[in-house]
Amino acid sequence: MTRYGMLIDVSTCAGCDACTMACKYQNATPSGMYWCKVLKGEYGEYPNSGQTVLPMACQHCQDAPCVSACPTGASFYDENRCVQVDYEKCIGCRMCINACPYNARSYHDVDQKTTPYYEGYEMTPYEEMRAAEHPIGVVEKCVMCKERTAQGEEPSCVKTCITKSRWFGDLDDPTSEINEMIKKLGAKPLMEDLGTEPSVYYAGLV
Amino acid sequence: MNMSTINLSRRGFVKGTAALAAASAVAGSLTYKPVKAFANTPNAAVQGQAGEVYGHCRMCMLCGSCSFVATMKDGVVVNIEGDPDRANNAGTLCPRGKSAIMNVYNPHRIKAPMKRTNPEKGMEADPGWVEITWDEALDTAAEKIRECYDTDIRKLVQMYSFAPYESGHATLGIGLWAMALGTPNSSSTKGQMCAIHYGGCYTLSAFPTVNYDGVYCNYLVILGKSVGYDSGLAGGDARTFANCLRRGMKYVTVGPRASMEATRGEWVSAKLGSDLSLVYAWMHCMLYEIENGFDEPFVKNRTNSPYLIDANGDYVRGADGKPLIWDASSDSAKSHDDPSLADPALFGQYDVEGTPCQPAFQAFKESLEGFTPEWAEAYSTVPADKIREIANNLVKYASFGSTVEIDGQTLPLRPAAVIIGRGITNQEDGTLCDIYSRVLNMLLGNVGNPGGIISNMYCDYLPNELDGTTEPYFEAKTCTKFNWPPQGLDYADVFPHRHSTNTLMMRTMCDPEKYGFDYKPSVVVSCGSNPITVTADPEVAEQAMKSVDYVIYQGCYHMDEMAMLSDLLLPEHASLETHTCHLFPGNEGSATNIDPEFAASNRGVVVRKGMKPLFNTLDGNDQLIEIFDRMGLIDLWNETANENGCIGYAALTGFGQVPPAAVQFEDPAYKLEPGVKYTAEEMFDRCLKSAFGADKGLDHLDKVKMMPYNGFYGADVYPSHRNQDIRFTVYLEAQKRSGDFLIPKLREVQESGFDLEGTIKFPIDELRRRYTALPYWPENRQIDSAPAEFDLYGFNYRQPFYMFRMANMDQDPIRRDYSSKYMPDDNAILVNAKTAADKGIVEGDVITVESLFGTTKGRAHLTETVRPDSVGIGGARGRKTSWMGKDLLEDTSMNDLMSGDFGYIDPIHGGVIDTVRVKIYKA
Repeated sequence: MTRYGMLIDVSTCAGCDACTMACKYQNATPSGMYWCKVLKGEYGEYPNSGQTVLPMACQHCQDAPCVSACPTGASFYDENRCVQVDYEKCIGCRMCINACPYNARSYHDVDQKTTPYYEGYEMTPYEEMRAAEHPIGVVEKCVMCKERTAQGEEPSCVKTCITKSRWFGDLDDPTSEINEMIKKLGAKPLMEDLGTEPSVYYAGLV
Repeated sequence: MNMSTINLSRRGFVKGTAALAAASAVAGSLTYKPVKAFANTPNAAVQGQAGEVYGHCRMCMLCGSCSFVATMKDGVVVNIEGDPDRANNAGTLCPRGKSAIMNVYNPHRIKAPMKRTNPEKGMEADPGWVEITWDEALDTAAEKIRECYDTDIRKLVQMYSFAPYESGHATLGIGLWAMALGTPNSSSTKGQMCAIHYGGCYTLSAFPTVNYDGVYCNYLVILGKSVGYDSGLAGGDARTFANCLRRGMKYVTVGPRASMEATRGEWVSAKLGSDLSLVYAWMHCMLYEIENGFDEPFVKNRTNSPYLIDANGDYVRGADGKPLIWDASSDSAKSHDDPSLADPALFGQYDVEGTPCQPAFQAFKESLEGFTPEWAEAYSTVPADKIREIANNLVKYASFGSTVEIDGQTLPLRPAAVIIGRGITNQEDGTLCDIYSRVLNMLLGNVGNPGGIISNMYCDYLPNELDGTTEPYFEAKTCTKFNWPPQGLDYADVFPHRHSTNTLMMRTMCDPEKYGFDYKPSVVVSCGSNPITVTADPEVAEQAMKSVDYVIYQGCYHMDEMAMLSDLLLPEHASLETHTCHLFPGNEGSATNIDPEFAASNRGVVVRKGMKPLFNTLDGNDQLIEIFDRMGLIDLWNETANENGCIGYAALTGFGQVPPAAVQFEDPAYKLEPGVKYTAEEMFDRCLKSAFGADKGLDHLDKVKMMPYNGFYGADVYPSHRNQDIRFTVYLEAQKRSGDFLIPKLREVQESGFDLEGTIKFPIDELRRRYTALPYWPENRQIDSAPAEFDLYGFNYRQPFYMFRMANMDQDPIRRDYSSKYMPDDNAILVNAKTAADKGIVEGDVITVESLFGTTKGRAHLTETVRPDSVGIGGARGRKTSWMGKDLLEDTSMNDLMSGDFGYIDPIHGGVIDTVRVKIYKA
């Protein structure tokens, strides 16, 4: 079996949001929607303080609460054990949004024509060309760049990372680079105790 | 006194640069090596309708550091990614580069040439634009410029900048064309807020700046700078930072805020503007407290420290004019390059043929005696123990005497350095701090060596053959010319070492007579430059633009503040729409990449072959060519290109940059012929063939995408290895010499009845003191003397989303939306939580920040990551016209708190003081 996963080394992440923007343009998500985000925070008290960054997207859990919660089977595991949403089957009930402990899902409810990127103007040709990829009334989230990975490419957030702090690969392959790096960096999933078995690993969390 | 007007004949200028151009062309070795074959030859249709378009990005100050591949579908660009074939960005692309798509489709673009019909100019006054033909537009521009040329070319003011895209930087647009016409008024509107160049130009022949060696450095102290990680640079600097973290390098960041760089290493919180006290105290520790605290062989043999100076501070010279050194082994004075010189004395008092003298180092050390860690603690708030710890670490990590083998050659290894940037140089003592941070590295023996600091572009050192030292170049070049009445409206006669004093020019333009000028400017040509948003005083710049007869916005892009003050708009293509090339000069940012091969492959000619232009725009270079042709001056254009090159920063060719900053016409067969009007593409093609070979023209570049030019390999990456003789300048003799020339001229002006001191708001005696060869402490700084009610310090810091105002940096709707939702410091004022509590301010309160010069508003963000005595405002934001969106007017703007007036700049390099005393209160 193949199980696609990702490793993010937070200790070298610059928090620049190149991944956020790569995801945005790769997937042409509707105005205001971001499948990938970098959450910012801080720790400590002055002067023993610093910033924290946490790149977030769907964790592609192996025991995914969103899949369990979906009443129509729209949320499912694909052949690479990534969690996907079948827009044809999605009825927009948003049970999955409630179920997801990682806040990884967004509901698309507005015609993009009424909410173009440039407020007060018409949609750009870019938006016009790609709006059809996002039907109204469904829940969306990171798809692990399934079209790219099908062609042997890395997900766009991995490719664009300016500090090379992301790795993509097959978690079921014991010889894969990602498994080697997870071991080397002592990486773990977020909120592991929830038992959702995420396929995204993090190293260097403060 | 020389009261004559400027001696800048048109022909003379061109001839002068020709000689220098020839010199640099010989010195720079041409090493063309084809890059890796392009794995997937771009299949973009000629018109970019489907497939891929590609090229170098130009949306930050690192013009050309990264390359992209954009995917086209039915004539629409649908995605953009980093080009994996480019060594610099290695397939990555930063969040700004991604927004090239939104900029192509930016609704505020200027889509055709236009002229104004409403004579009333203002930020909100409708100009009544009327679309005109390119013929009419170019004819009008040519007529206006030609009129200046035929009467008094000084009336022509040309400005360039980090343009929206091309014009400000491309080819001759950086100002060379205007200089070729003969005007003294070619001015950069960028750089006045970031005058970090003087010290590097003075000490290392390094322009724009100085990098650290990410391959070997193990301990780096960062003052007032981002080394690329905080800025989110895809071109290699952030990657190097991360790689250095992985291999255990220690970063120490000194500043008012725990930035991401500070977070990843050690943060040393210091009072704003106190960096000089730390630099002095570290040098004090190295010379007075730490045993073997400096690299003695390096200081003796690779700096001018042992040069003997007399009571006036001048070099004691031998009969041949060469500076003398006291050789302790023979107890006699010898030329600095005497082969028998065995033991240069650094200390003592001597007598050379009746002249009492001492080694410069003796005076240098004595000047630092009072700058103890305790003294620095009192000013900076950094504990003396911490100051000592850092000094000791610098010395320990520098491991004097250690070596490293590179390609079978043995080089000194000095893996500790101090690196500085805008945050310290844009202070009233910026020149001092800039240059003495370089001197500190000389004491560590790391200059140009593995582990230390390196001139960016890895360039050679410009020698002063007689003195055996580096020769200050470009803006640090020793002052030997003075005019009164003044010539350049930027007051270059009084500030000869300025990087850009465009902010002063805006003032003198409003009332030239008051400032001593005997002429009045009449035509402004802005090459993609916006002097209103980049300055501390937008209202002054607005007034300046209104004070002239005619304003041409050449290479304009969108309906910004400059457009609102222009009479004629000549719009250029979007970056993604151009077919052009550029000599990427090498990483300007901060780091030599961790990959030792990088230095060889990152510098070179890069192409951009874009999509079909959407609108009735014209390439910025072609606009200038057309204007010169219509002025009947195409021969001057061609000759200027022939003499200086035309790919890269041709305007820098004349400053002796080695390797040259522009590709040169090496084979004369391809030089531009008189009487022929070439297109920009034809010019590039001929220049490429001339430099690389008949089969290596633009078509070839289109295929290979990059041709390395003057790269360095292996041990040759290190300039102090390539040149093992030249001495660096611990003792700033040339700076003193600049003052020796300039100050008497200024006094003559003052005594002649013109109140120069009142005009420049700076005492000439203090200026004399600043033009010194030795460290000193400048008292009575603005930042220390503000009224007590301004109880905080305001500072600006870089945000990856909003650096500069290039391209659509602050307009991109996607980044604006995202940052407003997910970035706590978006349009915010960072206030320490305790300070906020004292003032009754809570998270999210809209507060006003007020300085002596202005106010700005923002949302209070309470944090533990800034000093209690400081407030931070991130990014370069804030607009003055609503014509690009009303929401932009509401952005929090640091510039509104500063002043670029006379008296509020560093008096030598002219940088606007960007740290100001402020108070905050609920709006």
